[in-house]
Amino acid sequence: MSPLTQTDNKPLFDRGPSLGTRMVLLAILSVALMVLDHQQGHMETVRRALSVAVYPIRVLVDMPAATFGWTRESLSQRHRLVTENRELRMESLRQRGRLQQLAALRAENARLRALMESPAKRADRMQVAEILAVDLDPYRHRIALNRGGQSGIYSGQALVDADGIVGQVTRVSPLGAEAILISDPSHATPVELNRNNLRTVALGTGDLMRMELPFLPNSADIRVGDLLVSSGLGDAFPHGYPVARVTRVERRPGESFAQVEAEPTAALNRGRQVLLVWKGGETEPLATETLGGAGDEGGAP
Amino acid sequence: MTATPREGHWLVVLSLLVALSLELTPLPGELATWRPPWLVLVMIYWVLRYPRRYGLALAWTSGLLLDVLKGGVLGQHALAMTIAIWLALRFHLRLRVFPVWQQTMAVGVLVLAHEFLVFWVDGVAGDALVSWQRVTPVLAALIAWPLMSGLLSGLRARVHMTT
Repeated sequence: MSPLTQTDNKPLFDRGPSLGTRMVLLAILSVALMVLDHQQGHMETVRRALSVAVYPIRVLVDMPAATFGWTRESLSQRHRLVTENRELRMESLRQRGRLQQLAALRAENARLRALMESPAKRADRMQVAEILAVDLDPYRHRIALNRGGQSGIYSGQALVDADGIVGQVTRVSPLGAEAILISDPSHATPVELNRNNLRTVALGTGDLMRMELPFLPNSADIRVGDLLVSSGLGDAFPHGYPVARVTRVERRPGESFAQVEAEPTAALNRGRQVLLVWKGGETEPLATETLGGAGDEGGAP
Repeated sequence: MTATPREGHWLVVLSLLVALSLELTPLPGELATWRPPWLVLVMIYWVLRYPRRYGLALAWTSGLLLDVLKGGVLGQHALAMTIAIWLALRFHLRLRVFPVWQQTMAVGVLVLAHEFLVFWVDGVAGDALVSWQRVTPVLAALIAWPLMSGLLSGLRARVHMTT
């Protein structure tokens, strides 16, 4: 232990409020902040300002992961890159082939919808965002994104990856954003069965590979392997994106609800990129053609 | 030690920034709950060494920054830090003359109070997951404290020797 400096000696007369008083004041201030933030959400401007101030720390923490990715890319061998490039080109070709069919299907769908006089579905606009490699809280499933209000992101926006819905944006600051995953225990996703349009709600469990569907009666027509897609109800997620696949159905005669579990289709803990979806951001030229503008009233809220 | 109080401020700020970064650094899956509460450890170290210079205001502010970084309820870590640092300041005369192992145990108690407050606020806010892993940060802190305080003491000595 080093000898005390001058300033470390206790002055004969303490100035200002005592230690206990200061502690109580700061504790009351913290509690007031928590109440204002949690119950009323009044602190968003404060949080936004502070989050801009601390955003460099998030980027700094993300840097090793980003640098690692970059180094691996720049050091990988030529023939591997060539092979990868060839595979990607094949993949792109295959998908374009499938997209040609999609155009025809879309036109057909729009015509059929026009026959039924229901508004046409519009295509969704998307933007790629990167997940920052930072751990927020081991007990909650939250992620930090590298895009924020400046890129037009809004709170409540849906996040998807190549295989399905990932989560939704909870907080936006000018430079970054935070999102909640569908596996968070406090998150519920409105879904429907792709096979028979049976609607229900999928709850997160805190386990990345498991979701629960607690509100299905024993008599519900659901089987292992069924695909759950977003129902678009509740206006949180756009309609028709895959959410999870049913892995377990247990019907107990004594209970009124079946125990159903599902596994998210999206790679929730892998992958570094996600897509942000703007609902009906692009107008569908075909739809307006066939419907004569009727598509404007529904489709996108 | 001949340094005037102004010198070394940058070391404190730097160590707090490093602690804030370490609170976010990704850990491999199973170790995710074993993260030592770096910020409160670094803060305890500085208030034990300079109880007249660094106190509750700095603790509260850095706790608030941690809240923003972690995206939790604003004020959660600020409250926990305030209480833990208040305890440290209350008993600093005794704490700083303890031998290392005893000091580590005492710091463990402070960290336990800190973790309990964080957990409690989680519970009141409605999304607390109760499991035995909630105490793992305290165990990690017991391992981290001797190493961290040794490192910071070394840095402190080196800085004051050269300036």
